[in-house]
Amino acid sequence: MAINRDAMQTEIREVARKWIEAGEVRFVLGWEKSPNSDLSRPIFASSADDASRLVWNGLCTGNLTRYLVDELRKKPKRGEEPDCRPIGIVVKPCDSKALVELTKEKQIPEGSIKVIGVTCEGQLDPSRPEPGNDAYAKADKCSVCHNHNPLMADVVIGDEVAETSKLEDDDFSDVKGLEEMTTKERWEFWKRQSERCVRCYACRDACPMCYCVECIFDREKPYRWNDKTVDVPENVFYHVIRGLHLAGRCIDCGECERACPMDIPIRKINRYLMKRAYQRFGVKPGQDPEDESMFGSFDMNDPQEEIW
Amino acid sequence: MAKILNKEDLDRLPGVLSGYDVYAPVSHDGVLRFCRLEEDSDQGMETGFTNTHKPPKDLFFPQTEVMLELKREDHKWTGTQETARPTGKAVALGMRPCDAQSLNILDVLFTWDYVDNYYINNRNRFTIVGLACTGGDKEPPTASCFCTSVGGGPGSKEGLDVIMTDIGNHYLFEALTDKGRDLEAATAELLSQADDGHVQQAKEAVEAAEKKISRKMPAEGSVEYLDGIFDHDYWEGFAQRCLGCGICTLLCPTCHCFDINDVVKLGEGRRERTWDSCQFEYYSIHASGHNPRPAKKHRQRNRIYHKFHYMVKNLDVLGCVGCGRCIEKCPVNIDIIEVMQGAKEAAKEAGKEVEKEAGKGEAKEAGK
Repeated sequence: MAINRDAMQTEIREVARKWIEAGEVRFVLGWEKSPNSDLSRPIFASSADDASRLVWNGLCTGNLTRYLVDELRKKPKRGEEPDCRPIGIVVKPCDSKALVELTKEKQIPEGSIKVIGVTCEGQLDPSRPEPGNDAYAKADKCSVCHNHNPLMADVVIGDEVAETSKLEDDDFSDVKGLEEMTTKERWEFWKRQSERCVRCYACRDACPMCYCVECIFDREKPYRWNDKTVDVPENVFYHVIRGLHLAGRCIDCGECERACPMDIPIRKINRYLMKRAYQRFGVKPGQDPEDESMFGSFDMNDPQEEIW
Repeated sequence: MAKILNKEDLDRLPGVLSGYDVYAPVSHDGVLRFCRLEEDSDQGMETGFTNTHKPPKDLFFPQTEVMLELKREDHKWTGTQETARPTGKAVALGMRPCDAQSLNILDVLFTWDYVDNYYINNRNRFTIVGLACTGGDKEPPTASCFCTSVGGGPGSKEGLDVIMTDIGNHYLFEALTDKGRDLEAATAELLSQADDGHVQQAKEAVEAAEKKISRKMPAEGSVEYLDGIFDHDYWEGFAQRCLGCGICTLLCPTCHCFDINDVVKLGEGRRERTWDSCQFEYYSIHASGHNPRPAKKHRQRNRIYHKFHYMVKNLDVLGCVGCGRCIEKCPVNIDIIEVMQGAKEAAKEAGKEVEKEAGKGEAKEAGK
């Protein structure tokens, strides 16, 4: 590791403490260590004591940006004045891509967040213990990561990491297996994966880009689009439709797959669609907040030979 | 009288149980659930596992269960037909004692006011063969197990008809009920007499496993300490990071809420029930559109009170068996033991506040 995580942790705590004590932010969304395991978990740090518990290590896989839209929508309690201060947040480079997308979609008003961006050389997957210093295997999403420096931050912590690849270089080899299947084989694959889905909606709830006030999967008037029946057809429908709603918007933070209690390879759907969004429409999610949204724009030169 | 089963004969166990539908933990790409073992399939029962991902409540209370079918003739709905209930004997092999304990709880939940015949019918078909937790490699107890502080244990016989305990080259096989003895008779060809040594080995294995359980739920007096803090702002803290997904409740062996829906399309109709979760936003939404539990803290608080207060007070059962699935699978590490420890602390502090206020009142009186 070129970057010194311990030093970065100290700096994160300092910056957060400063912002909190100066009353500059409502709270700082960061990670703290779980008292009963190696894992890190989100903390809404609102005191100097909270700030001293912030951590930065290889197990800070969680994407904290998923809390932003909910928090920004919250109304004050009756009789209380709204807290108009920005929300502080610590983001890895992948998380910062969600900030870019949310900005693109006008979900983050100017000045409503104050960002501590950290540089990153990869995170670990706590579900895959491995002997050795790191104790866990590297997270799959990190092996296809092209952004090791935050794309949006008020403060950047950590030495700059040299970027060694771009989305243009991504061969999407992780979805090659799916692409080489026949349509029938691919259907059988997703039928099998969907069979064990328990419709907990953790994938949706962990996703920063799933922020609809009324989610299509909760809609029941005049009827349900997605029946509550937990069977292969309804489960497949759920995953495919959610995937399509994320096409061009998913920044591959991997939270969906990490949250899934039944080990369903959800990232495969998102990566498959990411490849197509890039190849067909040149979409690079999470890079530039000035980019047009894929679904919200069209170009007369867009390929039109089929609907995919 | 206890029996022993050779370890290498475990694979033959489903085969000799002709006349039973055999269910056991089966791996689905590494994810374990109780599935029916198909006679002709080579997919067998897992060994060397901690516990199934999906709890075995699924066997008696399927995640989706069709209750009745709607009949249609000449474009008119003409009536309903009860869906055929499963019949015949069944056996669940390899249930952990924590999950078996949940069966006793589910039995109360599905019969205390309305007798749920869908559940009863399924439940009565089954003979439950438990697998004690003996702390070997890849075996429970795990770091999140806490059965011993909620009335259970790695060798607990609650809810079981037979208990098997790993004692090296064999499993000790103990029939505990009439159903268990019937199963023992059906498996006689694979079993031989156990001696005192075997029984002692099993006892020691379970005792060693008990010592490995490090986590303790402060279940004692939960009704009392939860009583005082319903409106306390303690519930604001940990619930802030809750995602509102249903993982804790769906994977919980004792959670039992369900929603009934009529699914009608293309000239067919059915009424079915599906697991619901108090963590879902619209779980308690009223027809008026009012949501009595609008925030995560209300819904998390409800889960805790249901398991550790309402069920204890109203039904005399603790709604948690210490399986640890919710702790392991929560994506944001909301740890039910940690939550209860915090609640107990909050109650203690609140109690001190009440005493302090009372003390002030008395001092004022005295100084009058």
